[in-house]
Amino acid sequence: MLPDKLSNNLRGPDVTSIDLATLTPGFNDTVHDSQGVFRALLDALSRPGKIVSIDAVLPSLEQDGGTAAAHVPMAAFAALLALADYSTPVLLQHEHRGLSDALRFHTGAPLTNDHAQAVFAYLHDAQSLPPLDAFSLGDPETPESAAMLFIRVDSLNEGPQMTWRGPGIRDSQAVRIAGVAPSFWHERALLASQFPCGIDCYFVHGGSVIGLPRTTRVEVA
Amino acid sequence: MSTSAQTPAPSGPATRREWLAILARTPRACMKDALDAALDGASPPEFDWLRAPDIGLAMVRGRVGGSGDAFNLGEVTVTRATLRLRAGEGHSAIPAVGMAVHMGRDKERATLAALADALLQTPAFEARMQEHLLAPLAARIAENRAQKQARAAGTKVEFFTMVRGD
Amino acid sequence: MYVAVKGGERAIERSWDLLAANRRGDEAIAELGVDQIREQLGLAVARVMTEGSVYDEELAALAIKQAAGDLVEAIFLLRAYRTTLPRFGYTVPLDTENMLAERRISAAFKDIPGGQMLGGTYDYTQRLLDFSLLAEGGPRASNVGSSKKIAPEQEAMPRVLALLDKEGLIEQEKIHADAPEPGDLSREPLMFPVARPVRLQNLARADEGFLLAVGYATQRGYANSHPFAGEIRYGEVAVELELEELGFAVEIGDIDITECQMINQFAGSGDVPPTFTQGYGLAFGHSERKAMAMALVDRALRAQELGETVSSPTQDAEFVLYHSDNVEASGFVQHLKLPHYVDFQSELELLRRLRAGIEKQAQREQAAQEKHQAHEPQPEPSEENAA
Repeated sequence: MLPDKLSNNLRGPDVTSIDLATLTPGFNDTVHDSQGVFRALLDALSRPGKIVSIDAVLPSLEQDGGTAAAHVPMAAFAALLALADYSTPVLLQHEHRGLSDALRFHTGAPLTNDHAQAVFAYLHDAQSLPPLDAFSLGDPETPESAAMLFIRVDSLNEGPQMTWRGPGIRDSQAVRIAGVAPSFWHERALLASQFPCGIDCYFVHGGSVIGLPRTTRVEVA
Repeated sequence: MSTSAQTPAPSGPATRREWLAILARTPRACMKDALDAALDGASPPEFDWLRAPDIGLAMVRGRVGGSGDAFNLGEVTVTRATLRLRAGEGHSAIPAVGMAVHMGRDKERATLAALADALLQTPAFEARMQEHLLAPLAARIAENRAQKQARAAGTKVEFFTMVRGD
Repeated sequence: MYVAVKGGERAIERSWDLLAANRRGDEAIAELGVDQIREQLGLAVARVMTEGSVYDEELAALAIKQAAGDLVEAIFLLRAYRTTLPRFGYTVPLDTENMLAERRISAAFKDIPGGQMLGGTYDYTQRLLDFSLLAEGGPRASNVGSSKKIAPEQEAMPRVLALLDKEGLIEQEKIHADAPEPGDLSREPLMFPVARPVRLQNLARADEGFLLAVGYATQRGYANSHPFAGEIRYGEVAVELELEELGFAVEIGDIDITECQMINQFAGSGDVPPTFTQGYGLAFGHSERKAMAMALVDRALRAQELGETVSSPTQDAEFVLYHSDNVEASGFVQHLKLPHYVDFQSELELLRRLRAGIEKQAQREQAAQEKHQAHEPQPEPSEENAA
């Protein structure tokens, strides 16, 4: 489904123009790099809990005067470059000029502040996530139109012990992810009854991801 | 709105919107020759790709009834490229970003056009580019238009009514 | 049910070779160049671009060469090719009023601003085969004025239907400020009810022959249309693309386009007074027949929204729009060539059983008949009875 207004970016009064002077370049080889990233993301979502690393070589996004913590993980940047296009509105939890300019330029993706409109969302602060049901959960005829979240975390192998079960996991998978607010797991569990509607997530750290599809059952110890 | 099918009259230097339209209508060979002439032996500054030339499609839209709401008609092939000049001596402090977007599938033409666009925004090259690149290219386009018009004009019907004398 | 049949790879490869040889034809004769097709078969190129839905003359010419002149096959090739390219976005809607026209006529109004310009058209030719074209180097187009004298800038050609509507009797198409983005059949399937912009997209890439037939039908009473050609234009129009990084739209080139506006009677309905209504056609390249047929069919499909009685298949959107795409139609018709061995076999068995059943039944009836006759003595055939 196309968003209601494709060219909003050019008409919105609060939309800044892309700063070409400081624009971060994208993939070197768009076709093959985005294929590789897609494969990795597919692998991660098919085997929930498995740490998958993304091989793409991308310059890192700078944020004005930012520390390492303010940096957008390469895996998140690569994923959005590979997946987003002019028909997939992207929501950024916090304003990030470098990332939004790069996404708008390289993918043509419209940016949105409306959670319900977002097809992809990059959530930089896992400790204070927006309520999950603010995002689109899809609908029974098109459950795939739900939002997909990329959540930056502090670690993909430290943190509270969890047990994951479900499609793509033989028996169970022990998973540790650091820095995610506990409320996230409660909210997510409540969505389970709405299957096939729901939300799919990736936890991102550096150049790696862990995929969490809506079908996985998570047990927090 | 659009000054479609009208090329800029050669009165004063072309604006960016105007020169991008001129470059989009220039075939590769003409572009090459004109750029060489304008550079006059000087080597063009080096650049990095922000977006290496790539080919895609744009969906052409028409209007219902010609004047109503938009509808999707069919696609057109498009080549685009964006480069950023490297900062160097004699060039402006903020290196210019040059871009090309035009119909067709010609990456080399896009490269030349993007370079020309960047040079037109660089003070050291601007004047030469306007005079030796844009002016001749604009004239070529205007000449082509004039020829088309002349050919069609011959087919215009001159009605005359027979007046019955009584 | 389709049977997965193995084997035949060698036969297929040999088939490709034979196809290539057939396409090439007699090696002693010069090979056709893609540039020759592009330049000298421009009207075929126009059709392939319009129905293939990609404006790229060289690609269309290549497809025509590869398809050995089978235009529907060439259209298929172009449609397939477009799936390999990314979509950059949507252009600004074409401003056809500002066309650099080669041809511009109106059958409804004689004296129009900018005049009636015939352009290059087959309309005034005698339709006699020109055998001089058989010889190489036929008559040059030297009569065309490539003269040195400067022609005046082409007079403005405002839309006939807008300008000459002093009494407000002709429906004018206007832009609605709150109009949603038009649906896009290249991304979403056709869903009913279909809005007019999507209908036009469907008709634009529809098979010209089908549209021609349906359009013709509307003129013969299948739909109550009494059309006039309000205006037909062919020429060059600029294409503009809005670029985020610039914040304004840039012209990326020009395309040749044919536009047709048909004027039709409309008797009015309860709320709407009688007025002239429009049908609209738009096609890539010089495609007048297509644009005119499209306009006729567009008008017929507006029956419902104009409150007219829908009385004919030409006004039935499901009938027209579902069968207009020649790639789809060709695919389904030609799929019959795929192995259907198993279902045919089962049909055969069924037929045999039915036949056997009927035979058995006939035999039973025959036997019963004979038995019946055996019990009742038949009257002796006498001369009286025979009379």
